[in-house]
Amino acid sequence: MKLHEFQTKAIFKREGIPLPASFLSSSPVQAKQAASEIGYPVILKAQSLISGRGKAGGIRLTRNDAETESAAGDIFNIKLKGISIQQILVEKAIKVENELFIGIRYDTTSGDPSFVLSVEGGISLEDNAPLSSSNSFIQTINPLLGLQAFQVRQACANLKIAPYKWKIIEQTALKLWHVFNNYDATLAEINSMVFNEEGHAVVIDCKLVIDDNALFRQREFAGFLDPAITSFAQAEARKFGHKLVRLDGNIAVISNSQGLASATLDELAQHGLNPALVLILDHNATVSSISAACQLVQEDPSVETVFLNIVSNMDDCCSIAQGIIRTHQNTLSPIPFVVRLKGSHCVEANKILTGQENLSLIETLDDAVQKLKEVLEE
Amino acid sequence: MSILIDQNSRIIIQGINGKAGSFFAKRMHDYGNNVVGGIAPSHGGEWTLNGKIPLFDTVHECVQSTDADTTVIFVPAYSAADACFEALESGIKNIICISADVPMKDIAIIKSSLQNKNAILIGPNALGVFTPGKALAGVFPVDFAIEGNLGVISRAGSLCYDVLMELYKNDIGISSVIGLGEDCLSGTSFVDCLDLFEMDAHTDSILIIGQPGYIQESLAATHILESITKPVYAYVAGAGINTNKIIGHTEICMFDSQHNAPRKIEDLSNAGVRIARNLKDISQLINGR
Repeated sequence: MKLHEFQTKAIFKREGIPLPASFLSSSPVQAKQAASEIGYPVILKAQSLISGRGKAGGIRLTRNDAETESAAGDIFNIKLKGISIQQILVEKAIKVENELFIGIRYDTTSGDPSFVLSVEGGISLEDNAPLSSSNSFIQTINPLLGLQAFQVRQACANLKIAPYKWKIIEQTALKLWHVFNNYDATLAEINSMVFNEEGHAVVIDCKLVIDDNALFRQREFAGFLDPAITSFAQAEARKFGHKLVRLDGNIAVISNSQGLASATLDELAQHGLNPALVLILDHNATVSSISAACQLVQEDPSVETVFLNIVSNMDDCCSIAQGIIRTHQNTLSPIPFVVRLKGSHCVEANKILTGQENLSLIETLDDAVQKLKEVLEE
Repeated sequence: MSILIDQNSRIIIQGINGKAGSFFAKRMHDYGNNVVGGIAPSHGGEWTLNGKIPLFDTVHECVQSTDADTTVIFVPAYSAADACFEALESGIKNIICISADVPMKDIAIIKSSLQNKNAILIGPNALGVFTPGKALAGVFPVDFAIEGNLGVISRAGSLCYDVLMELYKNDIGISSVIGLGEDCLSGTSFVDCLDLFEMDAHTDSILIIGQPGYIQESLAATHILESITKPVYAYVAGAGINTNKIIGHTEICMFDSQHNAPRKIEDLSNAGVRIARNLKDISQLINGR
């Protein structure tokens, strides 16, 4: 779960990482009030989890109330990938020079967390872009011991950072590790930290991604779902442990693993068919959660047909079949379902579904594509 | 011969009283007849599966009396790390963690604890290891596999079953199949498994089943180029995914535009791996060599 900038900053503040004064606002008027409270100049920052807010004009520097109100109005009109901006963070503008980047993420090659210090601003670990070796220094963190102060000093020395900054970088990096470790983050980034004339440091931008799998012990994030971003359907799917992604076609694809869903999308793409959404079922899906998934996707206005492609190793083919039946019984005019159920116990499951109206049982992906084409032509 | 497990493996099951644990315990027992015990704290001394499998309170006790060398873990995500540590401390060599949704922090700590120990971790969120005709230590369906000389390594779950059915239909036999799990971090990688199959006398060629997200397939490509002499085939699902069409926000790694299928296919192909374009292509590719 990726947190909004304002949510991340609230956590960083709690942990004692130095930040500029800021307020969250949800209207141009509120933005103006926040700005006068903070004192000009301020920066208005669109709160969005979709990258590209800067390019879209979502970050603006303003010097007076009139500018603030009009810039905020512009920002609330921005749409990023079809999602409009709901909130703006109004923040004291800080003169940016000598930027520093501090980040911690998991190195998926070694499996250990790794610490990155860079004297280059504007980078992000999230994009997995290669880091320039002359401007960045990477240290592997032993997960049993945590980031050590000497590792930060080594990085500072290597990057030839002025020694008067070392102490504050060390303190900030150790606090960042504390956040990363204690909040079950998969990525924690300070991008960037700047120093003012007196040598005081302040963090102007930061990012935090929390491990979804750790939410059972990170209860405070359960209420953090942003309704604008995780659409109603996504939020509903998540409630049942399913994962949902929206695309721009007209077929809903439901599958029980990302690998199989990927193969399904390949097959559709090869035949010019377009998915409207992809839903990956929870590992422990039950009859009612499967029924909820079917209900959810068929209510989506862009979905004209539903393709369930399930290959199971357990006896859950039957629950899937029962889930589909329950959905059909609860719907007045169900949209057509194309269903491929394979694996253990699939014979019984297919028996349950045989003879259902508006439902085609198929054997292979080829047949499925043919059937979907027929259904869409009708 | 085969890799990691065979008919002489002594398998135990942690979390044997749960729904999945008891379901697959029966399948493993029926298949290889080498499940020697189950762990169910506070039920030690009882028996399960109609008196076929003895229960123990702790892994340590179980290892003492059964000489177990392989564990298959079915406990809930929040106690998966605990179960892995218990197995490791009790001297189990093959730790196969089926539990899904385990936090990355826990996986990193377990992986780190495994260093310098004579043990391997497969998973979490793994399918385990299946050696057709000999033994099952995991959750594979056993009805679609015959003994043979193809080693199979997969990250995906249900896609792997689909591939196994396809191979079965075309009479392609398997030495062992390993399901690593779809998670970002896992105990064992494609690279580790490639080495195991390279050394296995009964494996002639290797099939990799890949998918979008994370870097594992690209690392495998580099390793194949440097150290694998046996022919390698690959099927990477997801080449038809267009990430530009996503509306809103996604955290599902199959839509990762960085580590996408075309890039993985290119890397593998450059390493001399023969690429299957779709499911049906796999058997044709392997049979046609």
